[in-house]
Amino acid sequence: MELVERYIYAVTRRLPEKQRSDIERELRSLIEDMLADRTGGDEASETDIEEVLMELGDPAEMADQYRMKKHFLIGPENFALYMLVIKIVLAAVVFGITLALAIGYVVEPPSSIWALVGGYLGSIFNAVLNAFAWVTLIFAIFEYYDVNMAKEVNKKEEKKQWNPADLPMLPLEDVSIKPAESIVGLVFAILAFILLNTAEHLIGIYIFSEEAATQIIPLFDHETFRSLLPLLNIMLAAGAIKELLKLIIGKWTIKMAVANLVLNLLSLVLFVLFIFNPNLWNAQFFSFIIELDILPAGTEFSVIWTGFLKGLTAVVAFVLVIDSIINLVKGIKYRLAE
Amino acid sequence: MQKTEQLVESLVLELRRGAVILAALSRLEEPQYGYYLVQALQEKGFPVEPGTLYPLLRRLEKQGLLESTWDTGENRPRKYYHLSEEGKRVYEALRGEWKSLVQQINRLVDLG
Repeated sequence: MELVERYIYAVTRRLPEKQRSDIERELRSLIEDMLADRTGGDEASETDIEEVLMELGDPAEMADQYRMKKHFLIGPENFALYMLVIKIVLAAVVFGITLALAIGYVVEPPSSIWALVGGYLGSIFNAVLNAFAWVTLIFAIFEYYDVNMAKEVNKKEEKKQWNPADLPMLPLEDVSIKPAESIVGLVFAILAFILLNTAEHLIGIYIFSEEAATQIIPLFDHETFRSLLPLLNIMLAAGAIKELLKLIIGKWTIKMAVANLVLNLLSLVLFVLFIFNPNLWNAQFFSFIIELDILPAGTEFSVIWTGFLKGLTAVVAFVLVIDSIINLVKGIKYRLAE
Repeated sequence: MQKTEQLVESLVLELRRGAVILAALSRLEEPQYGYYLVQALQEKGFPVEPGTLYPLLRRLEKQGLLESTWDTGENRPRKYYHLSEEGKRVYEALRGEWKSLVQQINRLVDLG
């Protein structure tokens, strides 16, 4: 009879604790009934037992029947949501690491490009693995406790009856965001980041001469520029986040438009803080312009320069405000269409 | 050929899944234990494996269609299942549904 006990154990160990003893009893009585049926009440031989157990089939399948559902790490109800979360989290991790390393590169340049690439790949690998493991673990815990996450999220909507009017509109042509636009924006942000963080002194006036080496008069005062660099980097990050959001969301929803507005405002504030710092501009650059003697007589260069900065700010502000308003309108349009 | 047989087998399993419930309910007016039910269905020409029937009985009990009692009086303890009041009502409704389903499908597949 040892085989019978082993079979029962093989089934019940796969079942929830509280069902085990009852199912164990029931299975034992079933097997005894089947044996008695076979032998007519005589002592069952080893062969009888084996045949009966064969008839009952694979204990794992039997346990599956008792459990009503198969065991999943992440079941079909939660899998679609899991994939979505994984994609977003991994994209955010890769983006975050890239940004962090880019900043680290500027603060403390590594000894060689290979150290940089190696460090980058190593960090990405670690972070992706970590993020993957945590997301999977959280979903696995929910699965274990039998929580249907998508249902939980949509609980409110579940109560009212579904009707065809609830179907989302097909994305309207002028409401969807072209990925190419965002990719160009991202590339531009990254290039600007590299330029401003590593080669700001190359922005300026170039004086070519045949006798001497090319001379550069930088536009910015180096020390002040370095101290203001975080402002610029936050501004670029805001721009990059905006483009990334556009890529992920893909259309001008209200939320997207509000995020766009906030990031635009942030950029504008940082821009103003940056260019209106009086120590930002290189004194040499100023005197060079004055020496050129191209200004109309009687005008003060600093006045013209301040006017230029104000005009520039006005243009930037205008562009950002228009961009924010257009996108808010698109967002509202999309909401209404829905 | 092998593939066709496998496909047919799995589709038949699917067809039978709901019918097994009806078959089990039909024999549980009076309290019966699992293996008796296996034999009773076999005799009527509708064999159901114990590995399918036993878990099904538990499920139906959990749904409130069946009630059960352990009878420890005999030489081996057995769990007896019988229809609850709710189970009786559901069984009656299912009988009607089954009858019309059979007629509808028979008309479609040209058997009736």
